[in-house]
Amino acid sequence: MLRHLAMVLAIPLTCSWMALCLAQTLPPDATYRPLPSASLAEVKAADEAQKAEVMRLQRALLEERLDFSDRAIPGTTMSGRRKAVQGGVRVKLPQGTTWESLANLAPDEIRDRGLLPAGFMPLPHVKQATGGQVFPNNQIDEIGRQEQRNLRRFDVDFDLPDHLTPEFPPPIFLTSHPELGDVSRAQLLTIKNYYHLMVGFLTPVQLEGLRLLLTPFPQEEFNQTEDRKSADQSLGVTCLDCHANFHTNAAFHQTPDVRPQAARFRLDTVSLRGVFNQQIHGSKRSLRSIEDFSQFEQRTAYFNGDHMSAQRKGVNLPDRFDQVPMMAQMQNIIDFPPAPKLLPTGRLDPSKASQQELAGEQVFLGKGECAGCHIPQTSFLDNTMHDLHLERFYKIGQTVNGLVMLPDGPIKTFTLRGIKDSPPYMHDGRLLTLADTVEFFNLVLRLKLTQQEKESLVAYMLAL
Amino acid sequence: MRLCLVPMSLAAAFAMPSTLAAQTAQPGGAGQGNPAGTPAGTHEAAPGVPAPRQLNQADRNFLQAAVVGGAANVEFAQLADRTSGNTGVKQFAERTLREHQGPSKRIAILARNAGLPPVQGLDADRKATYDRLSKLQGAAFDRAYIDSQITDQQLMAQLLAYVIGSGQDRELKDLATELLPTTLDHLQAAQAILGTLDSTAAK
Repeated sequence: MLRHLAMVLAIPLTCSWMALCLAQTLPPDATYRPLPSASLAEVKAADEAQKAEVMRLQRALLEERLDFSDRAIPGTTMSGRRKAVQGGVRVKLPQGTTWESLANLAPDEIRDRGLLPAGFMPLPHVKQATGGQVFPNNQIDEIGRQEQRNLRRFDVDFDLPDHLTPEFPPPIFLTSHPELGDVSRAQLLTIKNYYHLMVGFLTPVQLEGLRLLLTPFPQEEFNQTEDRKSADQSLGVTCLDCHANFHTNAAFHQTPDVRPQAARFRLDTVSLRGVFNQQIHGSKRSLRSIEDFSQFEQRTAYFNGDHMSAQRKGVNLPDRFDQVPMMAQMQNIIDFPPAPKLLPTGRLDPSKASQQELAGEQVFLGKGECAGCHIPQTSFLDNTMHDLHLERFYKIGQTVNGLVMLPDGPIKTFTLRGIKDSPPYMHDGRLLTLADTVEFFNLVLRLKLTQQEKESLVAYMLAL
Repeated sequence: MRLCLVPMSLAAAFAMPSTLAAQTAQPGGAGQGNPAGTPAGTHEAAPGVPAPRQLNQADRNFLQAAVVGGAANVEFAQLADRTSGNTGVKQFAERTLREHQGPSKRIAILARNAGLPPVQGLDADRKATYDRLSKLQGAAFDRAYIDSQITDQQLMAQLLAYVIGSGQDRELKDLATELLPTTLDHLQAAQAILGTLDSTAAK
C-alpha cells in the first residue's frame, strides 16, 4: 500500500492531461456532439473518398442477412395500387438450420451456438459513426424537381432496394372525408403544391398545420453551417420529407435517445396514419401527445436529441399555443387506408374474409399471441411499450458495421392497420416482409406455429 | 504527432497494418469513421483513410481513461484476491486478473505509441475507493468491491462504445470491438455476484 501511495504521489501535478482522466467520468463528447475538427472541404473530400467502401460494407452486410429478390405476392398491391407487396421469408438462415429446427431450440442454446439469424439482429445505419437522416432516391428526386431543394448526402446513399419500400408517393386518406378515398392525386405533398392540392378539403387550421409540416428547417446534416452532409448550404428538411404524404418512404435515422453514437440503433420512419388513436409517440420516448411529438421532433429527429447543436444550426421552435396544435390537428385527420374486410370492432367480417384470413385471425388472437399487444378493437395498438428481450438469443456487445449490438429495451407497439403498406418492419426496418415478422415472433415468443398457421397469419395481416 | 516511441519488438507485436488493404473494414467491425471528427492535418494512408496511429480526440480520451481504468481493475482484483473469503468474489477477482492483464498491456502500448505520457497509480475517485476498501473485511468488503467493479465495467462499456463510434484509429477501434463483449460479460458476472451477497452489508 505504501508503495502504491508513493506511486500516486509521484505523478507530476503539472501533467494537465492527467487531470482530465482522474475522475471516473466519461468524455463529454460521448453525450454532446463535437464540432467538426477540419474544414467542410476536407471533411467532404474524406467522406466522398470513403463512400464507395461505406456502401460496399453495408451492401455486404445486408446481402449476408437478407434476400433482396423481387418476389411480389401475386394479386396483392399496396393501398394506392401503385406497388406490389413483396412476399416470402427474406431473412437468411444460418447454415444447417431450418425455421423448424431453430424454433425447437431454447434461447440460451441459440445464443451460445450463435444461431440467431443475423437478419433478426439490430440493423446498422448505413454509416453508423455519422448517422443522421437518409432519404430514398424517389424522395430526393421529387423534392429536387418540385422545390429545387437538395436532400442528397455526399457521404452515403439509401441502402434498401426500391421494391422493398413503400409505394411512392403514398395515398392520403382523411378521417374528415372517408367517402373521398385517396386525395393525394398521386402527388407528393410539398410546400410548392400543398395549397393547390388541399384547399377546400381542409380547414384553415389544418391547412396552416400542413404548411408548417412542409416547411423546411435546418437539421443536423442539412443546414447552412460547415457541419453538414449536403454539398450546398441546405434549406433544411421538413417533417413530411420522411413521413411522405403522412405515411413513410422508409427514410431512416438513428434513435435520438441513446448515447454514445455506436449504440444508437437505426429508426425506420413510422407512418402517421391513424396517429389520432395513438397515445404514445416516438419508438423509445413514449411522448404522451402528438403535440409533444410535433414540438420536440424539432430537436430529436432533426438534431439527434441535442438541443445544443440545434441552437447552433438554427432550430425551429414552433409556438406551443398556436402552431403546434395546428400541426397536431392536421396529423390527427390522417386515416388508415380502407380495410373492407374489417368490421368496426377490428375483427374480420366472415362474409368477406377468406378461410385462410379467418384462420389467420384465429392464430392472431390465440396461439400467435399477437393480440396481446396488437389489440384489434383499438387499431391494433395497446399504447404500451414492450421489451422482447431479444438479447436472450444473441451475445451482446458485438459490433456490426459500427453498431454495437445492445439490448433495445422497451419499444412501443406499432399499429398493424394498413401494415402491408409499410415495409420494412420493426422499429429499425430489419425485416423486409410480413413473412419475416411471423418467423421473428414465432422464434422470439416460442410459438411453434405450423407452416399453415404462419401462412394464414400473413394472409390475415394483408387484409388489415 | 509523435509516432512509434516503443522498441521495434513491441511495435511489431502490436503493429498497425500499414497497407490500405489491411485497413479495409469488414461488415463485422467498427465500420468507417466520421471524418468530421478527424483533426485537420491528419495524414492519410489513402483518401478518406487516416494513416496508422493518427489519433483523434476520442482516441486520446479513450486511451487516457482506459489506461487508468485497466490498471485500476488489476489493482482492485489483487486486493480482492487477498482480502475476500467469498468464493464467487475471489473467482471474479481471479478472472479479472486473468483476463484484464493482457488487454491492459495492449492499451498501455497503444497509449505509449500515441505519445501519451505514462500513467502511474490510481485516479482520485478510484484511490478513494481503494483506501475505503482497504479498511473493510468480510461481507462489507465483498459488497463494496463488487459495487466498484459494476461501476467500472459500466464506465468501460460506455467508453468502448464511445471509441468504436467516435474514434478514428483502426487498431484501437478493432481492439475496442474485441473487448466490449467481454466487458459486458464481466459486468453481468459482477451483477450476478451482487445478487448473491448479503444485502445488509455496508455499502
